Amino acid sequence: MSARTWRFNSSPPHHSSSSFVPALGACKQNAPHPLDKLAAVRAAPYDPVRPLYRALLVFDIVALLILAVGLGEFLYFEPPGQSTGLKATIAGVYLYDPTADSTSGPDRRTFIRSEQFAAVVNWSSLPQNIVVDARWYDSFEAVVGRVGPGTPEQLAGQTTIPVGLPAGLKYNLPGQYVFVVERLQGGVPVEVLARRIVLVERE
Amino acid sequence: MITYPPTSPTPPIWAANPRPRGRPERYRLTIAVAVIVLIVLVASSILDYVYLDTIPSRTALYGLLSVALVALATIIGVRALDRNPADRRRHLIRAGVLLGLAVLLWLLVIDVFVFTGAAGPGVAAISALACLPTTAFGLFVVRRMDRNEKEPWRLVLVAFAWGAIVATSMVIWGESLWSAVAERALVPGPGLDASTAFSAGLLEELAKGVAVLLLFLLMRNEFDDVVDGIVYGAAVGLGFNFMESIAYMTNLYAIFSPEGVGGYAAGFQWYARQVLGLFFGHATYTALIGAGIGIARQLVSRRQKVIAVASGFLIAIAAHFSWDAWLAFFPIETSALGLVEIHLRTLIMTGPFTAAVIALLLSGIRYEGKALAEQFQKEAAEGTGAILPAEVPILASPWRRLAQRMHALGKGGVRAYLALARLQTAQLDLAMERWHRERKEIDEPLEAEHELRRRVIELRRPSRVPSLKPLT
Repeated sequence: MSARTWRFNSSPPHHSSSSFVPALGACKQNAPHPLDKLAAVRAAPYDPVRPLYRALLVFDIVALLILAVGLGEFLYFEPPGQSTGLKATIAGVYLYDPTADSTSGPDRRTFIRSEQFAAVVNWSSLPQNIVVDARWYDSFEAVVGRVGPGTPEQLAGQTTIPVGLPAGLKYNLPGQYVFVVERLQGGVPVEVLARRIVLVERE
Repeated sequence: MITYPPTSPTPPIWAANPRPRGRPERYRLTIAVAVIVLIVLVASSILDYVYLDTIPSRTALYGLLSVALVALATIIGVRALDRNPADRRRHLIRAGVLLGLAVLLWLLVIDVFVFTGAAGPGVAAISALACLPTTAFGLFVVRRMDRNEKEPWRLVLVAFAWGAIVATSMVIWGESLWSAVAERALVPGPGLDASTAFSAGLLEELAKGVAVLLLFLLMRNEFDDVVDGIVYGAAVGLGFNFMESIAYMTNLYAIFSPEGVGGYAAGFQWYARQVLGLFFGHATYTALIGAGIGIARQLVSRRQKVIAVASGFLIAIAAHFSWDAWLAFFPIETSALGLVEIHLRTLIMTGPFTAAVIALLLSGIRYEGKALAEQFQKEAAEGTGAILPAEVPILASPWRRLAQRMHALGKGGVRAYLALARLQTAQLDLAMERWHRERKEIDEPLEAEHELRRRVIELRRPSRVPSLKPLT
């Protein structure tokens, strides 16, 4: 460690400070001298690792800000204390015929890619003073079917919610599809009142 | 003309940080971390298989054999370093074969249990082959970044294999479980996206970071500072990115092939992950972890060491989180403009973190270069014969070292080039050892330094370095 890189520091030196002493030694010969006070100041080698460490701490602050914003985003869309205890009724998920706009067959949990399907909701089980909607999410978490938002009374005529094909595709994507009936507050979904997960198989 | 002093016993040098003989304390920590990793891998794979029974869980379970092979290869590779050169090569070959088997087995597992039914083994093989050259290029660049003392290929490849196989195995269970719980408990949309992003950032960075941490604890001789940390971290990230690229390519091929655009979807994934995102994604995140560990390597206070390591993890988790959580805020047009947008999105969202890694890397290289130059001068001044005064300016400059090697190549052929490269490497190792001893951050006995010095003097004999004389 060269002497020119040394600086004053309150921490004890790691190495002999002899190369720093001559200047002080000269002052001591003419005591008393204000520079004598410097004898109490210890020299420590300048460590280039410190700037790296400090840079890391600065990046740390940025990281904490990012994670705090992320937490804020999570809490905004998942506000705590929103549970009303309400439950919507999903009658089932059925094969869907788009030309007749009707469902058929038994309630199912798996489909193949070429099959179209829809959920049937019973809105009457919900109170009339809330705003709700119903959505289908595909395996890429994109909304591929939706009714609402509105009060359960306004949505009473839309009990069948079909899954739409993604733009430009002939078949449904494989993977998990999630159907949810949500309660909205200020235009933001804050509570899931009912949920169904179906699997579209790869075939 | 450089004169070669006779090989003589080296003068006594004060040992800066003498430690008792025996295994260093950090080995216990290494064993503890390794045992935790093993328990997590085995328990999570079995639990996932039994309770979730998803396809990825089967991968985790059957992939355990592959993980065991990587662990065995690592142990053999590390132990090989302590052996004499005659045995070392044999053991390193064994370790390399085991690593290769592990990679092949893992690819087979992924193929058989995840995508065989849909994409087929051919697609998986083509995807792997397509990712190999780009990833190899990435590893080459990452290793070359350490201009002063390149890390040994064996360790860079071990880091890569851990990222590709062990880290991916560790996260499969965690992410499957997190996803299963979140999908049944949260409101779909940005909140769920944020939750998934937290899971990816936290679990994937922890799984990758463990590999860098183990290298730091176990291979202290080859883990010198922030530069080495960044190199190992980026290598782990490239391994993870390699396996993830194959998984995404085959998966999207399987999804979109019935629509007739499977090849296009896989090709797009290849470009996004292996070209555009090669250095921007996982390589950057894990390099940040490596930077934290590398800085901790040279800090004195234990508290600061812990903070530095934790900081590296925290920054990496935040960087990864920001990409996964806010990707949706940068939608890509399906028009030609989308091509520009994809590049801009990567640059804006990951660019600042990559810039941070580059800033730390350049500072580290500059600092390391200065420290080594100082040690070259001190060694030359001591007159031990390991480093001669005339060699100091050459050794201090990577370009001049290269020029000297190229000169040796021209004069004496490949043999002369390799002999000189070995000498330069040994001289750099000696300077590095001196630097760490001076900073009291080494737990090897002083004999190790004397041995390095003896090795340099042995290597510099004219019969070993035939082209040195003409150079003067």
